[in-house]
Amino acid sequence: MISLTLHVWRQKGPEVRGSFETYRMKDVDPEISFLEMMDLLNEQLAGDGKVPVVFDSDCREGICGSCSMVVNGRPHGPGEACTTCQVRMRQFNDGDELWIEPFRARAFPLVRDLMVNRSALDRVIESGGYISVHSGPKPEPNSIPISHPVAEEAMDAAECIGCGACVAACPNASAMLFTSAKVHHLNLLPQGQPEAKSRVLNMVHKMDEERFGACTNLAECQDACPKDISIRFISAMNRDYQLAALVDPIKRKGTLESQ
Amino acid sequence: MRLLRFYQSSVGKKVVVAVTGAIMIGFLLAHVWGNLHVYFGAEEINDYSVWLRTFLSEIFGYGGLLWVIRAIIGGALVLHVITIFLLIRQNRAARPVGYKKTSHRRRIVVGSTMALSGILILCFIVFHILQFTTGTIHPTTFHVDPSNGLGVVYINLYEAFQVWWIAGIYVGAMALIGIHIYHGAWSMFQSIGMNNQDRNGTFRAVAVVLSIGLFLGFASVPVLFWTDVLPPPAEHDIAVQMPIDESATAGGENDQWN
Repeated sequence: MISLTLHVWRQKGPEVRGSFETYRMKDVDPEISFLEMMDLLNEQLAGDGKVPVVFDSDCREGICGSCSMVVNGRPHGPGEACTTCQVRMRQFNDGDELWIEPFRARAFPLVRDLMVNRSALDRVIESGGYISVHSGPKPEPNSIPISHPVAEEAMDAAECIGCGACVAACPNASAMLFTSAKVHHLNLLPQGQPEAKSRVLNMVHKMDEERFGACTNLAECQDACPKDISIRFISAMNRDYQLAALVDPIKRKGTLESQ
Repeated sequence: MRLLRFYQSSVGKKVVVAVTGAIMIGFLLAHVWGNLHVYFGAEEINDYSVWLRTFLSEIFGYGGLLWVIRAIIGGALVLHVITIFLLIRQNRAARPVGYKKTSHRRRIVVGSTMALSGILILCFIVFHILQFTTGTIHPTTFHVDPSNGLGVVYINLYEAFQVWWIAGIYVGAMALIGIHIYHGAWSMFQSIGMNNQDRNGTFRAVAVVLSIGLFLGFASVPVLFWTDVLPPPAEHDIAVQMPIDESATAGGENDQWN
């Protein structure tokens, strides 16, 4: 059993000033998860007649990407490639002081306490992270064999759960790791080809519009990513964006001006 | 229109920073190659400074090509700085409220101090041009060759780098350039979209070699002058230059771009 001192960010609403509140947790079982520890804290607070801490959580098995919080300066806490819910209390020592903060970014407006609104990421997806046209008919795209390395590469990118840890970790609050993963996992596959160019243009423009920062190539996002997504996808997105924005002809067959 | 939209995006700005950075690294490589002429004697480096003006002068006129190159480098520098200013403004605005506690596992001092090293390098560039190109700032005497109006490179270098703090400023500035390039050169490949898992190691190595190589190449000159490994200019060189130098420094304030 370990004892901890928690400094938790409390803020009643988006427009209200927030501050850190300090709580002591005694007899924490090292085998429980971080979120279960937060649940115990809330029970303790409710028992004392106080308002529990608001935080996001859903699947608690590391695939939904809801549990957005920054523990001691690291999004999702101290675990290697795992979400907050996957962090176990054995990763902390008796007597540790933990600073628990919400994800900080202009694009992620704070809702309450540790909960932020991450729908800016959804809007980036809405701008191009889908396949809406059929790339067929012959050969039918789903029957086109995809080589194993390409499939692996696309899967590496598709692992992104959209948790926003990259934004939280980036000193510039940039969403480039997220956007590049979403662009690239579709742009690598035959089904994604017809919309590949417009996808990268629209998603990058939407990302800027949502007031995320730009990339400084520090790779902080890669370290914070619970799915270990590599910044090589950012480089790939930069290449795709340049080709789409500068090289790819605008005038196409079917427009009056063409040829 | 297309270019403007490209520049408005954060990816486009990063590409502009990378390309202008690449132009400046190319310039630094040419500059260090020029500097190394100093090892082959006063004549060699002095002739080199004349060659810079006479090379392809049939096409561009005397010094014409040099001005074309200066315009390209200067343009790249201005675009680099302005674009980075815009990016920093965007990045600051993207996180209005910071963290109480920060922990950065990978983030090294180099990468996060690019703006600081950049500003210091910019100050150095201004100082360097005013000292050795125009002769406006001359803590030591600025010698000018009357036959062509150019600064006499070897003796100017020798005398300047006898002063410990001038040599110190130059070595320090070169260390900053090395640090800037250590992150910048790799970053360039990443931003321009050339990086992938197979090439990353090579690009990192290129950045390390460039940063250390340029630092050693540039910093060796002031160090070797200061430690007297490079000999003082021969007597006759000084004798020829001395009288002219008086008039040059007298009129030097108004006649900057000799």
